[in-house]
Amino acid sequence: MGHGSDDEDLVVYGTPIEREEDTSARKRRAIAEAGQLRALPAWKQEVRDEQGRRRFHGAFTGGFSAGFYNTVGSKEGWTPQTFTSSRKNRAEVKKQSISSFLDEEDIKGMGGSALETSQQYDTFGFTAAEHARKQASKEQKERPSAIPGPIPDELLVPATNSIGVTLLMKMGWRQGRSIRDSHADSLYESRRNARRAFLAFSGTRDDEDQDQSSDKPISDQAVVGSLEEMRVPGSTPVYVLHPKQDLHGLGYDPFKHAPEFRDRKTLQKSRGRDHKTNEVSTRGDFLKSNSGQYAPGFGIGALEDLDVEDEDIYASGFAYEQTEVDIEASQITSDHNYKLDGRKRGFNLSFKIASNSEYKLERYLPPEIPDDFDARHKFPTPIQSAINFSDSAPPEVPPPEDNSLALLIDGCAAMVARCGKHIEDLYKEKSKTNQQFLFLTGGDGCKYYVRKLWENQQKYVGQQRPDSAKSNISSDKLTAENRGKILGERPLDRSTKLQSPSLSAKEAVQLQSNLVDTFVKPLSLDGLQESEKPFANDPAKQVRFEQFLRDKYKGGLRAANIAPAGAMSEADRARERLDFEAAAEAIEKGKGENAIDPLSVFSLPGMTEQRFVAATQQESSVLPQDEKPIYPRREQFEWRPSPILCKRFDIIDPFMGKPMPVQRPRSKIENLIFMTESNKGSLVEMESSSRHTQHASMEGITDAESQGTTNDTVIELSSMPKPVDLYKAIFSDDSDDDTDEILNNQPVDPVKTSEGANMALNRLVAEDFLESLGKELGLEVPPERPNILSRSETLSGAGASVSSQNERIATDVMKVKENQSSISMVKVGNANEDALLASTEKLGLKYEKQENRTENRSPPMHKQSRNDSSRYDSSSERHKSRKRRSHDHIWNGTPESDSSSEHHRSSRRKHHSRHRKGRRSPDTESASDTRHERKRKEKRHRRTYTPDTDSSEYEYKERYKSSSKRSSDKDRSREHSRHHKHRREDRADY
Amino acid sequence: MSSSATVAQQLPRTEARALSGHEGAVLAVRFNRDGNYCLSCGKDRTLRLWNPHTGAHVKTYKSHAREVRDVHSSSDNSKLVSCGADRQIFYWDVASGRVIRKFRGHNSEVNSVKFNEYNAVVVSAGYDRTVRAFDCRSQSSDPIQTIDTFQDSVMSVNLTKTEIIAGSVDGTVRTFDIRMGRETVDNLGHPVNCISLSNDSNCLLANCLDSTVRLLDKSSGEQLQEYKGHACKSFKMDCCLTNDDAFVVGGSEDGYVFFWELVDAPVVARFRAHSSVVTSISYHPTKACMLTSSVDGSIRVWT
Repeated sequence: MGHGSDDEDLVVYGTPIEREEDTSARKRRAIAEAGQLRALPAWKQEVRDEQGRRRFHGAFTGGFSAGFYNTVGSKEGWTPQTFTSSRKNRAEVKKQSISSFLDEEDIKGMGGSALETSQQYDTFGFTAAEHARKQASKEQKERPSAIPGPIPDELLVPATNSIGVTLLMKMGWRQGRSIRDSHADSLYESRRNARRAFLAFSGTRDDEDQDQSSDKPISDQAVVGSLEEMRVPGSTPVYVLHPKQDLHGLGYDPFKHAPEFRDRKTLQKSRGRDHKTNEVSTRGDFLKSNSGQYAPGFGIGALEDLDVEDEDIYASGFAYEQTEVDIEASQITSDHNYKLDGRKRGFNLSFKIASNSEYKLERYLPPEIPDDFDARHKFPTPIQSAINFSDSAPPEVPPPEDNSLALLIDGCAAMVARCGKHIEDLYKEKSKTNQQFLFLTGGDGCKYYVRKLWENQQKYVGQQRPDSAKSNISSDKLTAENRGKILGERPLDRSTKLQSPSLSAKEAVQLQSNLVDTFVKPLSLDGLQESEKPFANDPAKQVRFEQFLRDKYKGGLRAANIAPAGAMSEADRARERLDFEAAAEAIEKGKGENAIDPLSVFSLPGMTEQRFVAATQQESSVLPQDEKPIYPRREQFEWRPSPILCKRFDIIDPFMGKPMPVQRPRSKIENLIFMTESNKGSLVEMESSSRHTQHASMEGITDAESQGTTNDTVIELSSMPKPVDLYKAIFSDDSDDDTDEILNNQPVDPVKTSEGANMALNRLVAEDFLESLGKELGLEVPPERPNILSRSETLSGAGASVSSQNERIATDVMKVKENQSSISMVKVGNANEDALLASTEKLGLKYEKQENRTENRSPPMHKQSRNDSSRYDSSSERHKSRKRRSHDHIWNGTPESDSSSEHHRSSRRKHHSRHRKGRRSPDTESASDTRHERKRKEKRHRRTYTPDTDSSEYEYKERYKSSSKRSSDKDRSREHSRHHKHRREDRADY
Repeated sequence: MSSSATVAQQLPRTEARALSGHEGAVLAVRFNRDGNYCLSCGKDRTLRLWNPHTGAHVKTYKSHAREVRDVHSSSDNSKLVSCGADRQIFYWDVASGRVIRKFRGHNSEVNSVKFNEYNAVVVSAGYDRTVRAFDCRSQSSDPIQTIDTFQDSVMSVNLTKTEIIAGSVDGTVRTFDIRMGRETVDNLGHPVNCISLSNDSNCLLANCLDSTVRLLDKSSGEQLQEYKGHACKSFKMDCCLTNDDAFVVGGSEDGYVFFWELVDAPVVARFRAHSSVVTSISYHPTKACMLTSSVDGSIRVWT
C-alpha cells in the first residue's frame, strides 16, 4: 500500500526528556533526593508526593500543611456534604461514581483510563458508531477543510448496521448488490480458504497478494471484511473529496482568459502533493504570480499595497528560481482518485490502484502527407480564362446542316460561356466516347462552336461590364501610383516592393533613402564636378558631405542620423558640420555664376513639387538654429519666501512690509487675516524704509475717513490730521513715559482711580465692539510699535499707573508725532494658518499683556472722552482701526479663533493669578516678569489677536477690582522702578 | 594642461575598500561635513553610518517604511535627515538613533533632502512637484514653505546660504533666492536628475537625462560646458565636482565613473567602479577621496 502514508505513523521509544523550566523547583529537588533516599534505611525514607512534599506526617508534626494539601488535596480538606432538603428538589438524583471518591492521584494511578465497557461488548452497535464518529472527526482534523467543525456527512453516516445487515455481510453480501448475487461456487470457496490460510501465514499483505485479489475484488472484500471484528458500513471505496478552499463562487474559472496557466497550475498542485512541499510551492507561486518582481529586502506592510514604485527597476533582484521536478505519470493519475486509506479506518482493504490501466486513450499518428502534395486547390482551368476572351472574333460560320447538332452546339457554347472553360473540358472528355461532342475537338461544326462561344462570351461579358468597368475606374483613381503620377512623385523602386515584410536593417536604410528621394529629385551628386568635391582626399568625409548636402536641400522624410554617430565625438561633428556648411556655400556660389541656386538645382517641373520643396527647405534651415539658443533659457519671477523661512536662513525678509497678494476672500470676516511683521531683529533696519509706506497707507485711511474727523477735539488738541496716532499715544507706551511715571509717582485719589478704571472698562467694551465692526468692513489696521510691548510687566502696577497717567496725558498727546513716525508696518494677507495655530498658546500670553497695557492707558482715554464723548459714535470705525493698529496683531478670523480665544482666556487667568501672587511677594513676581520678557522676545513677531468681546469684559472687571483694591504706593513705586529697568533692557535689545 | 594632467594622476581611482552591508540597491552615499564619516541609504529601508577610512560600520538607522532615497547630516554632525519613498522625512538624532521628528507634507515620494547652513531648516524635494521647507526648531511637523512651481517631479535640491536650488524632471533648474525674493528658472530642455554646486557656489552642475552633464553659471544662467560620454538615461544618478573644482565626476549606467576636465570637458579618466548603475557619488570635501554606490548593493571608497 502507499508507503508514503506510513511516514506519519510514528513510533515513540522511551520517555521524553522534560524541559527543565517546566518542572518546579520542589519537584527537581525531589528527583534529586530520590537517589539518596533510596540509599537510606527504610525507616528513614520519607514518602513524598509528586510535588516533593511529605506525604505522611506525625500526629503533631504535620501542622497546617497536613490537612491543607496532603490529605485530600483541597484547601479545606474534607467538606461534609451539605444537607439539602429532598423536599424541595426531590427529582434530583445524586449521582455518585467511583471518580467522586478518587482524587487526582488515584485516577492517575489507574493509568488515566476511566472504567468503561469494552468495545467488544457492543450489543447495539453504539460503540462502533461512536468509534466511527471519533475516527471521522480525527480524520477531519487531519484534512484541511473550508468548513470549520466536523463534517456533518460523515457523522450522519450510520456507523452500524442492523443485525440483519451485519449477518448478511458476514455471509458475503455487500451493499449495492442484490442478495442472490452471492458467490457460492465451490471453486471460489476453496480459493478463499487458501487465501485465508495465506493471509494468516504472511500477516501482512503485499503487492502480489493484491494483484491476485484484484481478480475478484468484490468477493475478496467480503472475505476480508468477515475476518475483521469491526466493520465500517459502506465498503464501497470512500473517496475523499477535496474541499473547496478558494474564495470564488461556484463555476468560477480563474483560467478563463488564461488557459495557458491551467496546465501549470495542475502540474504544480500534483507536484506539491507528491513531494509534500505543497505549502511551500504554492506560497512561492502566490508571491510570484501576484507580485511580479520586487525589490529584495523586507516585506511591505500589511496595509500597504504594492505599487509601481515597488517594482525593482534595477532588475538586479534575486529572482526566485523555480525548480522543476520530474513527475512520474502514474503518480499523477493515481492522485486524481485518491482513495481513503483503509488501514486507518481499522480494517484492511486489499485494493490497489492498477499501475497500468486497461483503459488507454488511443492516439493515432497524423496521416503522412505525400511530398508532392500541394496545399492549394487547383482548378483545371481558371474561370478567368473564360472571361479573358480573345479580342479577335473568329470568322462567322454558318451553322451546320444538322439542326440537332446546331442546337447542341448553341447550348454547349452558352453553357461554356457562362460556366467556364472547365465545362468545355468536361465535354471534351465526353466527346471521346460520345460522337455528338466531336465538334469540340475539331470535328464537324467546330468553327461554328468557336464562333458561338465567342458570341455568348461577348454577351455575357457585356452584361458584366458596366459594373466592373465602373469599379475599375474608381479603383484606378485611388492607386498610390496614380496619385504619385499626378503629384509628380517618383515611383518607388520595384525592388523594395518585392521585399518581404521583414526587412533587414540595411534594407530599411535603403528604403528610407528611397523615401527621401520620393518627393524631390535627388541632387545628382555624381554629376558634381571634381572641383565641387571639396573632400575628395577623404572619401568618408566626402560621403558624409554628400549626405549633408542631401539632408540640407532635400525635403520629405529625412533619414535621421544615418551616418554612424559612434565614431565621431560631438565636437568633431559640430566642427565638420561647419566645414560642410562653408563648402556647400562655396559650391552654391560657384553655381550661382551659372545661375543655379539650390532651388533651381532640382529643376522642378511642376508647381506642386515646388510647394513641397519650399516648405522643407525652410524647415531644414530654421530648425537647427532654433534648437540651440533655446536652452538654457533663463526666466525670472518674483517669489515670496515665508517670513519664518527667512528667519531660519538668517536673512531679512525681502517682502517684509509689503502686503501679501490678497486672495479673494470667501467672506469678508473669514478671510481677513492680518500678518505681523515677521522678523523683529530686522525691524530696526527696515523701519526707515517702511516709514514711507506706512505714511502712505495711513494717509489713504485718513482720507477715506476724513468726514468723521472734522469735529474731533482730540485731533485739534494734537494738531494732527491723523487721529490714529493720537490713539496710539493714548493706548500705547513709548519709552519716554517711564521717566514721567517715576517723577509723577504721587499718592492717588482712590475715587479718581476707580473712576479711571471704570472708564477704561467702558472704553474696552466699546473698543471691542468697534473693532469687530471694523473687521467686517475690512479696514487696514496699523501695527503697534514693537517696543511698546515692554510695558506689559506693569500689570501689577496697573492701578497705580492709572493715576499717574492722568497727569501724563498732556505729554502723551505731544508725543503723537513721534509715535506715528515709529509705527511699524502691518501686513495684510494670508497668514500662515499653521503657524498661527501653533503659536496661539503663546499669543494668548501676549494678548494679555497687550490688554494690561491698554488698561494702563485707560485714564487719558477717560479724560478725553469726557471732553468729547460723542467721538466714539462719530468715528467708530476709525477707532476700530486704530485699536487694531495699536495691537498689531494677526487676527485669525477662521474658525480656530474660537479655540484660540479660549486659550487666551485661560492663559490670561493663569497669568493674572500669577501676578496677584507676585504682588504679595515682589521677588517672585520680578522673576516671572523676566521670564515673560524672555518669552516675549522670542515670540515677538508672532502675535495673534482674536476678538473676544464678552470675555474681555468680564476679565477686566475682575482684574480691575483686584488691582484697585491692592494697589498701594509702595507697591506701585517698586513696580515702576522695576518696570523701568526692564524697559531699558528691552531697548538695548532692539 | 600639464598641471591638470598631474592633478589627473591624483584622481581617486584605486579602490581602498568596499563598505558592504546594504541588502539591495544603495541609492545615496554622502560624506558628512568634514569627510570623516559617511552615510548611505538604500532600498533595504535603512540608513547606515560608516567610517569610510577604516571601513567600520558605525550604526544603522531603521524606521523608514520604504526605500530611503536621500540622507544628509547636519554640519555639527548631531542630526540626520533622511527621506524616502514612504513620503516621510525623518529627523534623526545621530547618537541615539532615534527619530526626533517626522516631517509630513509631501504627497508622494521624497527624492532629496538637505539641511540649510544653520541646520534650522530642512528642505526637501519630492515627486509631488514640490519643494518644501520644514522648521527643525519648532515642534510643528508641517512645512513652513511650499514651493510648487515645478511642472514635474523634483529630483534634487541644494542649498546655499541664501538660496534653494532645485532640479526637476521638467527640465528646469530653479533657484529661489530668499534674500532677493526671486525665482530664477533655468530651462535646460532635458530632465534634470541631480544638481550640485561648485565649492565656490558660483557654478551649477546639472546631470541631465540626455546623458549630458551641464555646467551653468549661476549668476548669468549661461551654459559654460557640457560633459558627455557616460550613459544617463533613466536613473537618478549623482554628479559632483572634485574638492578643488578641477574635475567633474559622474557615474554611468554601465557602472563606470567618469572624470572630466572642468574647462575643456575631455574625459580625463574613466574606470569601472561597479557592475551596475552607479547611483551616487560623493567627493571628500578636502582630500582626494571618493565614495560611489551602486544598485548592486556595494559602496566603494576610492582614493
